[in-house]
Amino acid sequence: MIEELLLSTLRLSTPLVFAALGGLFSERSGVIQIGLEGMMLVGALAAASATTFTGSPWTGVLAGASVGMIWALIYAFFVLKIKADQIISATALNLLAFGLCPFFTKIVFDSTGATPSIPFEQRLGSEFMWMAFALVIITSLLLRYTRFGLWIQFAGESPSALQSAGVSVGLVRSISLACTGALAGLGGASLSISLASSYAPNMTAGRGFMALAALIFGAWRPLPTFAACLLFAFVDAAQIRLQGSATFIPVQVVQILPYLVTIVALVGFFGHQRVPKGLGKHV
Amino acid sequence: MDTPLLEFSNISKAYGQVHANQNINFQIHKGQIHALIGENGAGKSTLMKILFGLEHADSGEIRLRGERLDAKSPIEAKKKGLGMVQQHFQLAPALTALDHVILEQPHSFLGSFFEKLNRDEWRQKLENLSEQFAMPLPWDQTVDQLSVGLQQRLEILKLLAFDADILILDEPTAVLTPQEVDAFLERLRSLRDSGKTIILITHKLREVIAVADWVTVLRQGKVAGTFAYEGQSPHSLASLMVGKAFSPQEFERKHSSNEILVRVQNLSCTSHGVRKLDRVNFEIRSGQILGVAGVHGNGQTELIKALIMPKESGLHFEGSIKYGEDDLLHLANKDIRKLEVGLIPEDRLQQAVIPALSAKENYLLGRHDFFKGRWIRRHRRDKELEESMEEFDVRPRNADLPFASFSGGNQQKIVVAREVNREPNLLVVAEPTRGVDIGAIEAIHASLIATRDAGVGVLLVSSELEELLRLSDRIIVMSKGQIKATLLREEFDVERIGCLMGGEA
Repeated sequence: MIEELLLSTLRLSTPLVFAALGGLFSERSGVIQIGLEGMMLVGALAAASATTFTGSPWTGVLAGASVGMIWALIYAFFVLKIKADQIISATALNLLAFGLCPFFTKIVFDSTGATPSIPFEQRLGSEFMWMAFALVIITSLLLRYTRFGLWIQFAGESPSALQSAGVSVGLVRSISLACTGALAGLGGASLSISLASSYAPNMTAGRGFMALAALIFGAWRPLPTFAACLLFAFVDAAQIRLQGSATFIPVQVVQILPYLVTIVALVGFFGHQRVPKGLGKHV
Repeated sequence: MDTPLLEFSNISKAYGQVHANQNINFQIHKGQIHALIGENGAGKSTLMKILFGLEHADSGEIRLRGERLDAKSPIEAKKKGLGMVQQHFQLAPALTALDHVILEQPHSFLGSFFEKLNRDEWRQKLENLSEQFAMPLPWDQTVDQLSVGLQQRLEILKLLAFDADILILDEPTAVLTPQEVDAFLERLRSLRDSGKTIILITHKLREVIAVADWVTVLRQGKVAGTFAYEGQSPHSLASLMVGKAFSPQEFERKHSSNEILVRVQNLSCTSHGVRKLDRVNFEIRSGQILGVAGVHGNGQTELIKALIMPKESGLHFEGSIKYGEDDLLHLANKDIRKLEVGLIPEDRLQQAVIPALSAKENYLLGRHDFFKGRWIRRHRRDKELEESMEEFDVRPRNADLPFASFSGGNQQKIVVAREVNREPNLLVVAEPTRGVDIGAIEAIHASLIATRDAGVGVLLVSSELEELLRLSDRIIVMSKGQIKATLLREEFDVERIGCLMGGEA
């Protein structure tokens, strides 16, 4: 029982971990990131479609990461090149993703929003999970020990210092955003070709925002963020279990649990954390 | 004589109609401390920006060691051995001092993903460097744990670590306590003795007198004089800067009433676990100026908030501030302002005005006497503003211009005029002459004294000790939220106040 609960916690945390790490690259480099939801969504659709067409989940992984990255680079173009408002641009791209995905499935699969179901042997199992956990470590090491990590931190804390050291803030942020997109895209892919068997309409169900909450809860640091993702996933897993057993509570109330925990975590912790100083600031 | 290290010839730079630099010619010699002085807007910063590659001259050239220097960017200037510490430090509070130096190391983009930072090696190298220049620094602390003085030291060591031999320092002492200033100037001398050339941009004559080997005075974009400094009197330098005979006179002080206007009792304030104000007691008397001395961040900000916006500040105050029948701590800001309390805040663009609106519109802010019901008394406002602009010599004398288009000194003159002319009983003033040129300082000081003489109680918070000594009738010295001493005018003593500001008993 407990073992099962923990295992499903780990599985459910996977998309959150990918997306939260994606958000971390963006926000630590100083770009506000509320667009994770949209990137996950297009990533999930791309992964499911590519897997359906080729029969190989690994092309799905590649497609999810690439499409997420392209989506993030569109965002980068808006906010870094044209210097559009970050909140508004990301909201627009989220809405676009919500609208574009059903459009795509209608044209390509002639279905209302979903992709055909992928046979079990073409889906991935725990590979995503191990990938996500490895990426937590890699991100942590990259940030702390490499020069590019140092640049990301300066881009997020004091872009003008980075600029005057002769490094292009725009380039550092663009590369970070590309990582964001790839990671969030992978998060989406893990939903559609591993946790579920196809892309379904709005299948991210707010996970992009929960990932952002985990990032804030984890004070923008890789390991605490990972822990926050595990917490949210645990509540999610418990919620699914409760739906089956505790029949005296209405299902709708139980389903609220993960979101409730997210809100409580945010209300309790936001404002007490050290926000990256250059977040949302141009040079 | 050998070739000068740096030579400016015929540098000109105009922004639209304004000639920031006009035919600038002078030389800087190796191994000297070269003071570049002038009022705000005299063109010092523009000239240094051109030198450092942040701006480009319209005409003229700069030669470095006899060769034409045409730095297109600060990066190029750095490669040629120039280094600049800007007035506002470019530091990331959450990152360590060590990382700030490592950041400066030039590096290709591609390799950056895979290069492991060699922090141990750097730490060793930097510790040697700090030892060599006698400037120790806790390298592994984050910048927000460093005092402002140490942050400045970090900025300088950053330059030295990459072998800069010409250091440009823009108003370096503005952020330091008097003691720190002395130690800092001493360090400049030893840097010079080790062969570095230092360009010191300043408007504080005391520093020029203390360390300069050579002085260049800029006035209205032109060189007003460049000479080896050998004990010229401070007044002759000031006259060169201002362009007319300059002698700051002691103000005559009228004796008016000195009744207690405001009585602050046991005022305390704790924010995020830090005691910002600790049982503060003092009185503000009508017809007197009470100066508040202290290094920025020792409770002055909270003190002003307690007086002006105790409810809106989000801080929790204990104690009382008796003002007539009222306790200001229990009043909302709008009610306090109705009690004829004027405020000249520290940050005028953020707190005193709306920069995009015209001077006329800004002159209305907080002035209920210009309103009759819902209508603006335009004529009355226009007449008063016109007279004030005349009296304070605000330039350009056009009240329809956006506030932001006036220079800092002229902006402040308008704010001071607005608050003084509302005829307050109590005037709270913070840093009235920050970033303001000498001419404007004189006008503002005279106006504050006149306000005092008219019987107004003035609270003056300033980090410029000279300003406090000149204007105050009494000075309280704050350190870590406590009042360390109250000094009467005849007891004023720079040394003692300096020690008290540093927290000594």
